[in-house]
Amino acid sequence: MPVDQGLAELSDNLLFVATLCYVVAMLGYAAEFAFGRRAPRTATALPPIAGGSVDTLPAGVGSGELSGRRTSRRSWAGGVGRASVAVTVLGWGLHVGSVVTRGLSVDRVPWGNMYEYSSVLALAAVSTFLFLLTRQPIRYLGALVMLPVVVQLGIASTALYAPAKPLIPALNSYWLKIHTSAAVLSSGIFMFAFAATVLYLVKDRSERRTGGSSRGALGHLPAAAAIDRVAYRTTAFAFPIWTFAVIAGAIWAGEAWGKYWQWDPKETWAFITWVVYAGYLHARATAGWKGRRAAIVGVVGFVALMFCYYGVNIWIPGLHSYADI
Amino acid sequence: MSEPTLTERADAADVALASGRLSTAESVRGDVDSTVGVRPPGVPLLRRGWRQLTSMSTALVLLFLLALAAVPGSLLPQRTALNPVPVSSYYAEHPSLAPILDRMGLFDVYSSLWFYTIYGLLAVSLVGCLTPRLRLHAKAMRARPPAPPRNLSRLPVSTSFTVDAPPTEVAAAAHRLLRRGRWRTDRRTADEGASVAAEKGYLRESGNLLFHVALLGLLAAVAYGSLYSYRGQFSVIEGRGFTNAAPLYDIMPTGGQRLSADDLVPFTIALDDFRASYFDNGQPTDFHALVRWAPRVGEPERTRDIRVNHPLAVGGAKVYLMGHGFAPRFVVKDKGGKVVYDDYRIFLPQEGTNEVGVGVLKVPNGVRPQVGMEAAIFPTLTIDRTEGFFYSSSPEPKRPGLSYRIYQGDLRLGVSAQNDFSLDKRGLLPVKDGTLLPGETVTLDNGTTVTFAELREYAVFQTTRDPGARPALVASVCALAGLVASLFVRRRRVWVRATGTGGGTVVSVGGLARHDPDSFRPEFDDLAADLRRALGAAADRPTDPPQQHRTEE
Ligand code: HEM
Repeated sequence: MPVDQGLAELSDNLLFVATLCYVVAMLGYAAEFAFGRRAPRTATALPPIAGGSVDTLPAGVGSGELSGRRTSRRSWAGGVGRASVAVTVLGWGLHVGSVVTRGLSVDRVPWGNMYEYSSVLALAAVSTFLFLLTRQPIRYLGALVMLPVVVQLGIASTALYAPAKPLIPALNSYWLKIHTSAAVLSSGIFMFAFAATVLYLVKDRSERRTGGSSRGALGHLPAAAAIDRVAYRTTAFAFPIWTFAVIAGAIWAGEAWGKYWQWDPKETWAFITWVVYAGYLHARATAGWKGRRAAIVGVVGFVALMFCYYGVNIWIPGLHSYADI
Repeated sequence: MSEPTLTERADAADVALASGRLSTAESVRGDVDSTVGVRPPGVPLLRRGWRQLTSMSTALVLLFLLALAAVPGSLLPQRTALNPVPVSSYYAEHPSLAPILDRMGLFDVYSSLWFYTIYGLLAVSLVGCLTPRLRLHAKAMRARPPAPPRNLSRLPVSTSFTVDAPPTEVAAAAHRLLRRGRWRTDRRTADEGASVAAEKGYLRESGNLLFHVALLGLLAAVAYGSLYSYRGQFSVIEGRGFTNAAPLYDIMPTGGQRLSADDLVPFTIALDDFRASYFDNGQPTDFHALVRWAPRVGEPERTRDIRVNHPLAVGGAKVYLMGHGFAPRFVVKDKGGKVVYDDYRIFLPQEGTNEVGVGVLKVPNGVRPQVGMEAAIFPTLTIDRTEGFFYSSSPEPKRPGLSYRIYQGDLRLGVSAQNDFSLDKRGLLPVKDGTLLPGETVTLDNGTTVTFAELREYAVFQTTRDPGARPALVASVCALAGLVASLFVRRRRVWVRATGTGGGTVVSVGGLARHDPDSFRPEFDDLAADLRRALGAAADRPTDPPQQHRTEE
């Protein structure tokens, strides 16, 4: 089946522009974070009444009445923040266009090699961010979410770039499509959760140091516990999807190779990732582990996930004909 | 996710009481919490060891150990793979290091003693942790929802209003309403009034228990499979057949310790046609092996198209299409024209060459001296005129050709170790080389002739049987279902108390959410509003605005 070169080229170009949008948005979020004004005092002193709610906590920029100068600075920074969201949405639209045209150009699911997979993974992370943004004020996570997204897309378009090509027969399977879709979706959500986890750790440290109310740019952030809840909820959402991806992968392996599990490096690292994230969820309910230690486990989980993807495909040859960089 | 303390203030002891047993996990959660009833005297050390082993933090440490233990297996070659060559080549490359790693079990990580130890300890820890939790949960499922705390307004969410209906009627209405909302309810009457206690979300704990029990089941299924599974590879040339018996395999069936020859499913399979299709650039699109097969010798045959990812299932075993190649047929005659050899030879495809296959022919009998041949089969034989070498310009057999070198002498069969794909050339002399097209013959000096009679394709199949696979799948699906319930079902309690006073009946409603209290608030408000409407209370005068206290998620 021939490849539609025109569409494939369009896809590459769209991805390039989308990446630029993300870079701009990332800088915008970072500027808002650095120059935005302090959240109202109640932001961190709120817990007795509304501590249970993420929604009631102000995001990076809250409302409040302070001196005129500060107000103008706030609206300036807040405007940058809102503009960054708009640019993110624009980038997201182009990104969706890129993935769709790529799929159309080869007439198959557009995650058949590392280049495509990276792009879709980044798309899943951005989608998670934008989706949650419609329900919770989590703009403060913008810069930290965009950073791995941009890095991912940068690597994808350079080192991992692969021209559009049809799939080899072993990869052309129903279960494989299900497996990779679930894997890429959960990875994207994990990527978002990772950003929140890191921010939680930073904020938690500063709260510990200052005895509750962080100063400087960190003071703009909601309480560590609220950030932790965002991290937990997204991880807990991604975990069953990852579990499903591993099961679907095992079913596919059973169909393709006659053995559902043979400890090839990809499977091994998917397993390690699963175990570490299970450890994270388990740790959050274990005395002496919740909070910072659990969050560190979550970070390790993401490192394992990235190794499962980059490390295994690039450094370890295995049965997965996926290492088709 | 539940966390242990619901209340932070001591004055809420009442609430703490009311929220008791929201999760059986509570009683087994802490490292020092007692898991099971009374401690029998005499074995404190054992007891403590057991409690330590079945604690959640031990489970956590074991989980991390399991993850860590799996790492080396992904970095070093493993014998568990069907192909044992990487381990021997690792030996060749690291002659001093390899034996040490081998002694530590690092080439068999996933069947090594230490891996089994961690896995076994986890299983024991799971059993120890689950037994008391299952018992507690079973009890909790049968128990009545706990009585309302004295002061409902101390609960995280509460409201109250006054109606004209008598307390028992209020309780009956609340009961009906809650039942309709699929709450488990319990009605009580007392001197001063009536109350209803309701609870929801037991499925969360059930799900959590199902998840952990299913993990145990998965461990068991994997262990069972590793004892009774097998796997082997065989090749079938077009027009020929295969009977499932150990000596006929190219790669002998390997499997669990409990496997005997009788365990092989006795099927037969014959390959009628093998078809490969390719894109113009030589990339394969699909492979089809059209076969006739029967579950055992003598039974009527059926036809089937076996493709990659579409195995044939025969009596508990599965037959997979793993690869393919070319098998030229050679006819060798002595100088008198008597046929001394007539058979197909399997040639092994070389990677990245458009399916060029290499192989050998050995003719030990009927001609003196013995004849050996090394050859390469080119599906589309093409000659590079400038460089003077052969290659295949396509993977499809459009213009097949054979390039050969023939030897004469002593094949040293039975003298030296050799396989079907190599010649021991120590006793042989090269006598002739060149190319042959199908039907062409080469004649040697002593009158012996070698004919490349025909070209066929062969398919490589793998048979596997793993009786643990289906149980493992069932366990995984249960684990997933349990996990989803455990992570997303929310546990809530609601109490309604109706107290008769001079001016009517005061209805107070209170609620407690163990998980996700944010989403509980609107839920609770709806419930209270429904109740009010059901009782015909004027929605005008709530005696108390809804109150919200801090709760842990
Ligand atoms: C094979 C090893 C294990 C794995 C992969 C595992 C994984 C998990 C996961 C992913 C959760 C979070 C799901 C949820 O919130 O309901 C969880 C919760 C839990 N696990 Fe495990 N676990 C394992 C072994 C154990 C053992 C041995 C115990 C007993 C000591 C245990 C006790 C619990 C409890 C009590 C919870 C519920 C916490 C709560 O939400 O109240 N687990 N586990």
